Amino acid sequence: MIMLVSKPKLMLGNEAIAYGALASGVAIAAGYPGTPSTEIIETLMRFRDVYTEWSSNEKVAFETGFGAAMMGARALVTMKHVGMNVASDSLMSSSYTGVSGALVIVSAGDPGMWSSQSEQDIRHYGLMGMIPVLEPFNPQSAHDLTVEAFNLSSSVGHPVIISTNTRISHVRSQVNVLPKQPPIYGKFQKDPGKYSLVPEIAKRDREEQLNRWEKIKSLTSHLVESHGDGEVAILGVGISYSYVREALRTLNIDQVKIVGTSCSVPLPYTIIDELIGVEKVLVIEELDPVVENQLKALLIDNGLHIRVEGKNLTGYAGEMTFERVHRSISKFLGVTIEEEESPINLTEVPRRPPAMCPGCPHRSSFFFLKKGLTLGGIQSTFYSGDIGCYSLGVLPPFNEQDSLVSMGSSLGIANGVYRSTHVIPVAIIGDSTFFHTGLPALANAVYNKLPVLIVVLDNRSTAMTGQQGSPSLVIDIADAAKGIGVKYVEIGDPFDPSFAKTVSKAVEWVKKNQSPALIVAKRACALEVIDKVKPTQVAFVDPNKCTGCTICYDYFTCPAILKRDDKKAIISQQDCIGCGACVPVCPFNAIRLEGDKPEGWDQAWTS
Amino acid sequence: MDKLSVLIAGIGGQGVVTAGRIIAEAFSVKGFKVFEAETHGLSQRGGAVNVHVRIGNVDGPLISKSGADILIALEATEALRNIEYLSNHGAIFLNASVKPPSLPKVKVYQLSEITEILKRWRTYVLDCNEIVGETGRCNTGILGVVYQASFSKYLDKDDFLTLFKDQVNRDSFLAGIRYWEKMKYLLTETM
Ligand code: SF4
Ligand code: SF4
Repeated sequence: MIMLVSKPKLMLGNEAIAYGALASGVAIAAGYPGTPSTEIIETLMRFRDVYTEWSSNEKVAFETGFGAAMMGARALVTMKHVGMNVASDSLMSSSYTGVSGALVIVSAGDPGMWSSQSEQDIRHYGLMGMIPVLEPFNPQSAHDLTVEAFNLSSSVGHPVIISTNTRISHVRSQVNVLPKQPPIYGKFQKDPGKYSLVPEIAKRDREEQLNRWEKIKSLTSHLVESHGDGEVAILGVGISYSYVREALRTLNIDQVKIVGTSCSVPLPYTIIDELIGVEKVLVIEELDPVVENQLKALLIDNGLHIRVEGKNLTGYAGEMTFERVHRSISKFLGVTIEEEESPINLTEVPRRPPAMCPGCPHRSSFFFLKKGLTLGGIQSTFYSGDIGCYSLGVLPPFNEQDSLVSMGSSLGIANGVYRSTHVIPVAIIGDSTFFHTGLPALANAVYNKLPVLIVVLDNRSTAMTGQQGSPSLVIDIADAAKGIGVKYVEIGDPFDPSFAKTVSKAVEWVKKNQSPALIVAKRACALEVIDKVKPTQVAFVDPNKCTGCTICYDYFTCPAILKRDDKKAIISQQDCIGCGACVPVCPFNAIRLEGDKPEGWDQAWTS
Repeated sequence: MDKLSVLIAGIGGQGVVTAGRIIAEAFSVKGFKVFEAETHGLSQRGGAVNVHVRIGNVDGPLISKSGADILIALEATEALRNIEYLSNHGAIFLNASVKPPSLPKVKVYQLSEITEILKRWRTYVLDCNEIVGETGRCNTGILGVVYQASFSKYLDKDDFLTLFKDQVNRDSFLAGIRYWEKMKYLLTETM
């Protein structure tokens, strides 16, 4: 049993949320890994009396929490912001039915898109579904609001969303945590008159939803605070409240009333009391004008004429920063804010995107896939990509992700590409993504006879978010594909140059049979391998054999392979993990492995 | 001290996040309010990473442009990428190593070009190998240097030493302290 400390402890916002859930008696916690949400479930997994799982996707995770809350349990569901799109179908229904226990959904957003395809503002789901959205302003408030969310959810019997983001979830700060409570599991119970949304029941539930919404409005009305006085006010929402407070303090601006709220949907009506006597107000919030628009509506309802500024001054795109806060305050108040100018203006720092790790099997898959396609007579095709570490295949030298739009989208997009052009596409999808949302599209490809080459990059882990498991650990992807009706299924090892041959044969089959063929590229995530077995081998380049042909460092690009001044290759002994993937890549046999193979090495790569 | 802002920049895999966490822990133990903001999440190595550490009378987790007092660059090019965060009065602790990105055919800056650009700040050019030798930890060694040059005004070295789990890190940290003491008048400092 892990003891909870009573004095403040330095922790991530995500850990603070997990501890808040523990203090609220959470019993069931399910999620799908996604940056920046992952550490919430990971923290809860250390507590044995709480049931935790990584579900196969966010919808399943949500339904797990929803089902538990139907039984009266206290349930937590976590995902990144775009995961809400996957969960949204059942999410919308949960607002109609309500819950018997408590259901809290944590959605971790990514303003600025540090590791996401979009920065969509999930607070719109709160407005759309009549689900309250709480928004913390630092890790401590993330903890406290989680407790608040569970209380609100159980007292009204309604789902509650917590909207956090990178600068809360991945910020470490001191947090006072409340003691853990025993988990509250449910009791077997049935209430089809509430939970079975056939039209007759749905119509009644809709009325009850509206009643609960009124209750929620009064139970969230205390989530407003203010400091100072003045004829102008600045309203900070969630983390923006922190930026506003510090900015006004450092800029020595007083005579401005600071108002803060950690409830963005529904905007507490008590905010009106704070704004009486104020002439104009600036709303500072992340992403879209969700609070700003509600405030405008509230003011009109109350017959108040107060000028509201917001996104017109802060702008929409990117995450909130002091610069944006300073700039908008300066325009709003008509004051000049002295800002230091950086004496140099650099525009040409070479970009440094993350790279596939040394030993990453995806690199070899991309390398030999291209070769295999050429061998199979395909010079140009559409690489329909997907979301995972292999998304990095979009970068040179591979350029083998022509689109990647959302989890599991590769096969659906490939279908559209083929139907409109009759070019045989290649769909590339990871194992976790395959089970996340790839399966329905695979059924469609079989059902509608889509000529496509599907390559499943199976490293048996959800690697991008930190090697969480994946259903591929217990379900064989080749079996799954055969079971769904794919006629041509092969398993290949991407480190083996014959992988190219496997690809070319599959392509020929697709052309001839005008149906989907699927290859499972099977090799473990390199990071996971070196976690299990300490590498003892390293690769060397024989400078006498190396001709400086550039293939290994310009076309294979393992980060451990460097270019010498004379164009010959040299391998960084520090970075090389001795996987041997580069050995067959050199056409002049200049690369060899040295050292003894550690025990369990091959098994770690292939099990 | 009212507030102190430290930006650590480097490449994924160099221990940037760990260095940030250690600084935050050490100040936290002494009772300072801290925020440490990371942009980790992607597992892959090799991408540009930075960590913002804010200490003292602060509310927001991110350092503003020209707001950092100290910039620690575990790779020299990354100092350039993050230079707009450094105050004109700030100091740079620069690991004198340039690593090209894992992209084919990019033009990289040479170390001499980088120090030339940075000469308008107080820049300490550090050679990791000289500090910690072959077996030490570069990030911890440089942390030792920065401790001795700056954080020692507020903290004791034990505040750090107790945070390291192994002897290699403790030794590297102490080596950094000794290095600063020995070299502080000789290190390249341009202003
Ligand atoms: S592929 Fe072989 S010959 Fe070509 S640069 Fe690399 S080591 Fe040298
Ligand atoms: S053996 Fe080759 S491919 Fe594998 S890590 Fe070392 S240099 Fe990279």
